[in-house]
Amino acid sequence: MNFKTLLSIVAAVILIFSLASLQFEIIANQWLRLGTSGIFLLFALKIFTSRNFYGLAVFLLLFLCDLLLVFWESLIIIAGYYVLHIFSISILVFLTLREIKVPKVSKIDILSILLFFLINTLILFLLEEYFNQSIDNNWLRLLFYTNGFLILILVLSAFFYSIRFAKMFLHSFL
Amino acid sequence: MGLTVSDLLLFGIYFVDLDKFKYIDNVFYSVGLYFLLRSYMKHKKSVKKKEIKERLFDKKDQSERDTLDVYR
Repeated sequence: MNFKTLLSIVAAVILIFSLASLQFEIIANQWLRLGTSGIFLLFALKIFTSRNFYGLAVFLLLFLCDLLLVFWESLIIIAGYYVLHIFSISILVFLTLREIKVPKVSKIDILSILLFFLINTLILFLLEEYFNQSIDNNWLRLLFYTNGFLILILVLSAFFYSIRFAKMFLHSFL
Repeated sequence: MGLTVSDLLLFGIYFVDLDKFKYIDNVFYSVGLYFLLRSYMKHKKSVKKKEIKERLFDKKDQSERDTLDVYR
């Protein structure tokens, strides 16, 4: 069987399991998440060579994050989760930005980016209020904000990446 | 994008009481990981193609130089 086909079948099975877990609590959510990242890590190990270490590191870090998610109660575990997650997101941002050359941005682009940041920062602050209710720790709060803002940066870089390559795709047809 | 949506939902689940969407983050997570791996696969393929092209180009260049040397 083709590797690509196998990956698609496994992904479809995982997706069905994830959808089923919405309705029926067959497996605990954290274990399902851990299993998902574990299976994808195995595929990643097959794909990546030592040359693309960063790509493999993302999958490895996400797997470790999910492992910590299973034991989410202690403060050290939560901090560890955030640190590992920050590393994985940073690598993804680095890999994405490396491919993008400086994009041309108009005033409307800047305005919409600012609006995007404003709305999402508000959501982040709102979430932090709930976060603060259960855990009162400055370090964790800092990690929480770093993680949140990095996620926002990742979304933006993914957006610019897709714009660049979508344009390239259109150009190849014109 | 899938990973990001999954993470945002995860925060929502832990810090806001969203019982209805309790396990939906897993769906986005698996989709996100799948497409991340697929994009890496595509990238790897394109790099390989580029390397083969460059190698072929180098070989062609070398053979042209060799022919020129013969004429000289």
